[in-house]
Amino acid sequence: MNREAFLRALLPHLHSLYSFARWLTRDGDEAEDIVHDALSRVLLNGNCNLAGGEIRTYLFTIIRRTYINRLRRGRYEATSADYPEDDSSLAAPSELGGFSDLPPELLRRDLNEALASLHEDSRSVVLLADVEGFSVEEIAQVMGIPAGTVKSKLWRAHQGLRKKLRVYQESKPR
Amino acid sequence: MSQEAGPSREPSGEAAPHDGEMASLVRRHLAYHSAPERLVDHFYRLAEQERRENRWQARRFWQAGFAGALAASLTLAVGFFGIDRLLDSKDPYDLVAQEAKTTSRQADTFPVAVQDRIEAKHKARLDKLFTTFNKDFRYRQKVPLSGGQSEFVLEGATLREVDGKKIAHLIYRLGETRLHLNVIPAEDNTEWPGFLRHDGWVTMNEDSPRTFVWRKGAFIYAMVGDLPLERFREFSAAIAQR
Repeated sequence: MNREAFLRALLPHLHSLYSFARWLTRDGDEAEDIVHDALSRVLLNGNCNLAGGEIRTYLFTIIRRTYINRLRRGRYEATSADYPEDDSSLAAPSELGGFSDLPPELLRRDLNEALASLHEDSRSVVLLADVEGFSVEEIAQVMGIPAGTVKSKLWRAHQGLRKKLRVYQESKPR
Repeated sequence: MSQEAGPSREPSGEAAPHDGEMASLVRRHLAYHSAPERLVDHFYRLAEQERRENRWQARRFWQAGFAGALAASLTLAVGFFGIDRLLDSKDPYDLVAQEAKTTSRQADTFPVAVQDRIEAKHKARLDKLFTTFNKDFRYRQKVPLSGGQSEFVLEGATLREVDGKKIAHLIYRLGETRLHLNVIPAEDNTEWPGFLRHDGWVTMNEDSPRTFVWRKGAFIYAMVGDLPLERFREFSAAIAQR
């Protein structure tokens, strides 16, 4: 894939990449900067030799890598842990019941707040799996972790969201 | 925080521990942020720019092949029409001007790369570049201008190859104005000498970005930048004399 083909292939993914970066940074300007910086570096360094099917995974990988690099340089404040290592407080999905009876606007607000408060790893896994529809193997590639770890992170992230939504339900006036 | 070990209730084996309801909620209700228009525009412009450059290079490749395949015919034709008239576009310097505009746009698109190039470790490469061309493109270029002396600072330079020919791209700055200078060796070039075999000014495009193309000795020069016409000519003349 030459530069031109690479550029054409990345165009359909720009909005998804930006949305992903925005969820990671929680800042529109930073997200734009990350997408611009990551893609420009790829183009500059000539790392465009990808098969067609690989590009989407690769693009999300470099976006996340750029974010992590900036995070390590102290550019952002990392979100605190979203749930304890000891998961005894986490209930199984069936025990908590559904949220479908909530008004959509409240559910949307609470869900967005809940996801924003998750740890970066958990946020990434949820976004990549549920929003972008990546497979476990692809998420493992994007995040540079084993597939088994992706599964456990995704499961725990979902439970973390459940717990936070339950807390919102109980604590906020409706 | 890292959660490498799964909780006790986590399903084991190959099945993904998928909380279907939560996944569905996220999919349906999570905010999706559209990229800003300027970001999208930027990469669409880059793609279009790349397409044009590739098309231009393909055209040049075709022209070179065409010229080789029809060499005998051209030899005969020269007597009647002249090689310029056979190979020329409307503006004989259009290819060089286009090359200069393309490289200047790329440099402006990636300002970080320009910054990288002026680091000390790149100075040796610049020196080597200048030696290659046996030309003194100084790091700081003081030019006597009509309003007094001004100093153009060399911000960076790159060396790349098109059709096996080296093209130096130098970036100067005067205050806030950036000036791009492309230097192309004319000799042994199967295509450009036919277009550019006479010294002197050829193209002076008044539209933005202003583009000047000329030949002096063994080099073809192309300058791109938005400077007042007079200042542009003074600077380019000083460069050409070195």
